[in-house]
Amino acid sequence: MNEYIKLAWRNIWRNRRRTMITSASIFFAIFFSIILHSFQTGAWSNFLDNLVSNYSGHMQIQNKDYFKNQTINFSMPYTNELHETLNTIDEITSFSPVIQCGGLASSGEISKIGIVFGVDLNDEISNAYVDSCLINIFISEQVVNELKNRNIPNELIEKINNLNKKYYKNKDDLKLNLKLAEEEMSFLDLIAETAFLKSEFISKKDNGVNIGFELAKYLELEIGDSIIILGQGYHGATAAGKYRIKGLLKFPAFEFNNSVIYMPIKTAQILQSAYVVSGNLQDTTFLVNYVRINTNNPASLDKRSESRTLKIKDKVEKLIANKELDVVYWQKINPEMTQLAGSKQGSSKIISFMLYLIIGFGIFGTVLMMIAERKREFGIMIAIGMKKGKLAIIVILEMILLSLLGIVSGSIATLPIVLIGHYFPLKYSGGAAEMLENLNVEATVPFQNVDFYYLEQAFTVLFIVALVIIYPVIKIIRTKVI
Amino acid sequence: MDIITVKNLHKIYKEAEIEVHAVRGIDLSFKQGEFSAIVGPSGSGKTTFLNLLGGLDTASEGEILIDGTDMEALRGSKLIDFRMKNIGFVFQAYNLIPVLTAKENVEFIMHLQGTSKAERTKRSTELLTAVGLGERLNSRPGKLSGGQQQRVAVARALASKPKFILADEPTANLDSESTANLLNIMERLNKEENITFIFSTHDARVVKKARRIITLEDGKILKDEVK
Repeated sequence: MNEYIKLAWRNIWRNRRRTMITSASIFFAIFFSIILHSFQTGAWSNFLDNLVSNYSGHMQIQNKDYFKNQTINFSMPYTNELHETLNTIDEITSFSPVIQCGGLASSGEISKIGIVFGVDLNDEISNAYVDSCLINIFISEQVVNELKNRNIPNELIEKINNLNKKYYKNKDDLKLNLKLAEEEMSFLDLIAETAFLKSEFISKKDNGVNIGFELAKYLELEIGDSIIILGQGYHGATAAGKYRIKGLLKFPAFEFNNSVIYMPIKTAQILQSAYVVSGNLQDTTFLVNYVRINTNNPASLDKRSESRTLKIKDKVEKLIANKELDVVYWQKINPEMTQLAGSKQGSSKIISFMLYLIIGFGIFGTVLMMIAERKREFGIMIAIGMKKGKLAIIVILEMILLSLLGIVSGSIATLPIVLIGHYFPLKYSGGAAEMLENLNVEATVPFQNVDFYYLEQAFTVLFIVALVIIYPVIKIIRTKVI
Repeated sequence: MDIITVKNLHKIYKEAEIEVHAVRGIDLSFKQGEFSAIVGPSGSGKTTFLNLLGGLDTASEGEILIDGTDMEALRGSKLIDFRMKNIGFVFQAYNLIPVLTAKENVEFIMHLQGTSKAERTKRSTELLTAVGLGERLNSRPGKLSGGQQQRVAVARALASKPKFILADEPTANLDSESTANLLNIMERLNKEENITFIFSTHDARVVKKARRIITLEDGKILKDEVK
């Protein structure tokens, strides 16, 4: 075989320029395909993982019937044993029980459908995000009037007036919406102080809640006011409670602002009678809708990520060993998101396919020329004793070596870009950055790290070569000696 | 003892609707150690006859027996194997593999035969030295003159230890000195090692050296003279 490889290697350099052009076409196809894949998959996987880990979690432990009937009646007990078991699983990076339900929120004569979220106050990561959504600035009529008396230029007062009755999370949020000129920047602190609204995050100590600011506006409620929640609890029990508003929340999604009510998980469990008392009160087991789990295997478009997810799922299922419970993973929980991500990935595959189609024709052209030039030589080689099969092997080796030149050099050339892009990701700026941060998504575009997809690209080119090579092989088999 | 026996050999080519009768009923035999030339004007059927002898083309009618084996009964890989083991070829245009050195060109056929590396090296060096190219073992064909390339082709033809060598116009592209050189080498190999050479040629210098001259005309034997 060594002799054949040597011969094939020397043959590809018989026409140096043609070899360079053909391998350069493979080089560029591999280069752009890998960069495109790495960029798209990396950016989407990052976006996906941020959304998944912040909202649904990578996995959920649920009552086996909860997925089809997502009500409190199909809740599950959240026991100390379960808590301890989850703590022992290395792949789990965080977990928190979740309770949520619909209810009628009302104040005086006004009422509106709201969604109650029971928040595990130990889940620092999720709480940090909710905390960052608290509103601390409110431009009211009174604020505008007060600022008029503080020697603020009329144009700026006009700008502030345009934001009348608007809520902002913090000074940065206000600054972005006020669109201050350079000379007006000095008034920002004064405006923020005057319009300060003291929103506080919920705590175990009191009976307070945080609600979406649009809901508060609709119900004509302010911080410190009480909100009544009425709904149906566990197994038909009446869920009714009165809670003090500790803070207003502003999320990127309007629907959230219009309906969300956050309260400590215990408060939500009591509101819904989501507990089972067996014997005496000390033996009370509290129920949750599900337990949200994040793992060390990020949500990704990479197929191998799904197989790792399944392994972790199996492990969790085995360890919790409860036939009444199911472990569902993010692809099943968020089918639309999975589908959307898949379609985005499909677009990059189409571009890659087109690149490869072009190089496929390039390689085919090279093969045609090579065969035409060496028709006589092939005949002579067969005449002196070379079998057609061995001759075909040499030509196949030539094409493989030619392709490997492009594949290896193209892959190596992408390494610095992919590694830098992965470890020092590009950052979004301006409106895009703000939008992503509001969604609690990192405003970065990391490239997907060097992974199995490099081999995928290599095999794709080799597959094309395998198709293209059929022609010369047929030609060789049909070669006549004279 | 005859190593080649040709009986009533015909070759008819069909080009479009026209039939060309290139070889018309040749009966002939060659003995071991002959140094024969096939001569005749262009179109007389010399090259066709040589191609048929070498198994490079198939006869329309007749029989070619090489050491008792009917060439017409062999096809595909069997024919390729038979050719490799029994027949050496020297072509007018040398037809060496351009990416291999002189030594590698000679070794190549032995590699196909499965000869060991040590044996290949020994024999290729011996053969190239025998044809006067002991100093040019590692030169590629492009770096050799026409005469030198043809000598490499002779060494390559001998590498597989064939029963006979067919040389189609081997001196057509060579100058007088190279021709004389090449003919001397082939004559020496013929005399010293009893290797059978069959040439097709127009070259009077080759005819002068040959001990048997077969003249073809219109695909038939016109004369068969032994000097």
